[in-house]
Amino acid sequence: MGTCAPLSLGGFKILDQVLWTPLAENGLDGSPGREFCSLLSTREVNLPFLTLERSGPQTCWNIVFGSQDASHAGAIFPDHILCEGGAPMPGAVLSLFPHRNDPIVAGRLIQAFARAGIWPYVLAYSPSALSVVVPAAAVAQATEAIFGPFCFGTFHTPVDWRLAQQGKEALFKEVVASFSEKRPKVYGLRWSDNLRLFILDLEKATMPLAGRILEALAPSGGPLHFLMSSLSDPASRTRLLIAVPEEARFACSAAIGRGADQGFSATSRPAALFTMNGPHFGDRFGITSILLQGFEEAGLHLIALNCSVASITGLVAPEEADRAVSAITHCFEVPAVIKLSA
Amino acid sequence: MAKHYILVVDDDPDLVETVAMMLESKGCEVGRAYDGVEGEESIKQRRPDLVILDVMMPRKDGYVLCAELKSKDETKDIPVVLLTAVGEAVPTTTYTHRDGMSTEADDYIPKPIDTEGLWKVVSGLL
Repeated sequence: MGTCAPLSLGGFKILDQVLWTPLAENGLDGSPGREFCSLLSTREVNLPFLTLERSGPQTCWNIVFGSQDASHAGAIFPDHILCEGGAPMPGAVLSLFPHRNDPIVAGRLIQAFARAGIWPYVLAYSPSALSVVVPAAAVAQATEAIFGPFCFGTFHTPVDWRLAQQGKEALFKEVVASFSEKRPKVYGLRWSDNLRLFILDLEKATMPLAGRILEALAPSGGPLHFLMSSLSDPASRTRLLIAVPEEARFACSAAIGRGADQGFSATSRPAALFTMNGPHFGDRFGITSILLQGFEEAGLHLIALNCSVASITGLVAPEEADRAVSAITHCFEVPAVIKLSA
Repeated sequence: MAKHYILVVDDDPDLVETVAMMLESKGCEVGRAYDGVEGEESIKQRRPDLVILDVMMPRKDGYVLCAELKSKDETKDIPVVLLTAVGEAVPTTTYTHRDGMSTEADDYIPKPIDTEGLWKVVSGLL
C-alpha cells in the first residue's frame, strides 16, 4: 500500500463539534425508530449523519447530532445507548469526495486509518461522498492519515487544508434552514432494483481486512453503490453493508470468500436502492422522520438507511422498490425520478 | 460539433454530481470544483463555456467569485449561473438576493430547482 500512488480526489470536509451515539432497538415491528426521529424532529434536532440497519429483530442506529443539541437529543434515548458509559461521544464527520463508486476509496481509507490507529465509529456512502465518523480526539490524526492514500485538488498537505478552514466555521454555522414547505423539496430521486447486498459481520479489530476486501473488489467487483457500517450489539462487533450490481455478485463473493476464514461471516441478499438529495438536507431537522413515517404508512421494510452529507440513501427488497418510490414521491416534492441501471 | 464545457462549483459533492449527470446527459463536458478557490483555479487552467456557481462555499463564496470573473476582461464574457438556497425560504442567513443581483451574474436561480429548469437556463446562455 505504501508504494501505491495517491488516488486523486476532489476534496474533503470535516464537520466537527458533533456527538455520536450508537443505539440498539430489539424486537420491534413496523418502522424502526420512527419514534426516535419524530421526537428529535419535535425538538428541532438536526441529524447531519445517521445510519440505520435492520437485522432480524434488532435495529442498529448510529446517530450524529451537533453538540449544541446534546441536551435535547440525549434525553430521548438513554436506555438504548451502546456506548461505554452510556453517553454520546464527541466526534467529527470527515467526508471525502467524489468516490465515483470505486470501492478502492473506502478500502484505502479504512486501511490508512487502521495503520494510524484510528477506529472510525461508523462510515457511510452518499452518492458521491464517503463519510466517516471519527472520535473528536482523532481528527488531526485522521486529516494527516488521508494524505497518504489520497491527494486533493488545492490541498496539497494537511497544512494547506487547515489554513483553508479559517473563517469557514462562521459561514456554515450561521445558516440554518427552516423551510415551511408542506413537502420538502429534493433535487431528484434515483433508484435501482438490481443489486446484491453483502453483509459482513466482523469484530471491529478486523476492519482492516474489510478494507483489503474492498480494495480487492475494485478491478472486477463492479461499482460499489452502497456502503455503510453498522455498530451492532454487543458494541465490539460491526457489520459492513456493501451493495454491488447483481452481475458482480460472483466476483464480490470471491473477494469476500478469500477473507472468510479470517474471522468474519458474510451473508447476501438481493436489494434495491434509492437515493435523493435536497437543499439543506444536511442542516435541516425532520427529513428522516418524514421518510420513516412515509415508509411505515406504506408498509415498507427498510433494510438499511443512511443520511450523510446532504443525501439520504436506503435499501429495500427489490419487490418493494416501486412502492418505496411511490412513498417517497408522496412525502417529498420530487421533480424527477430516474431509474439507474446497476 | 464540439461539446460545451461547463464548470460546476459547489461544496455539496452530491449536488455537483446531480447537476453533472444532467449536463452530461445533454451532451456537455463537465468540470467539477468544490469551493470558490478551486473553481477559480479551474477556470484559469481551462476556460469553461459556462459556470454554474453555488453561493455559500468555503474559502471564496460564489458572489465574490462571480464579481471577480465579471471584472476581468479575460473572463467577463463567461456566462455565470448562480445557484443558491438563499432567499425567502431561509430566514437566518447573512446573504440576500441583493448581494446576488449586484454581482452581474447572468442568471440567478434559487434552489431547489429541477434539473430540466436548470438546463433551460444553461442552454439559453450557451
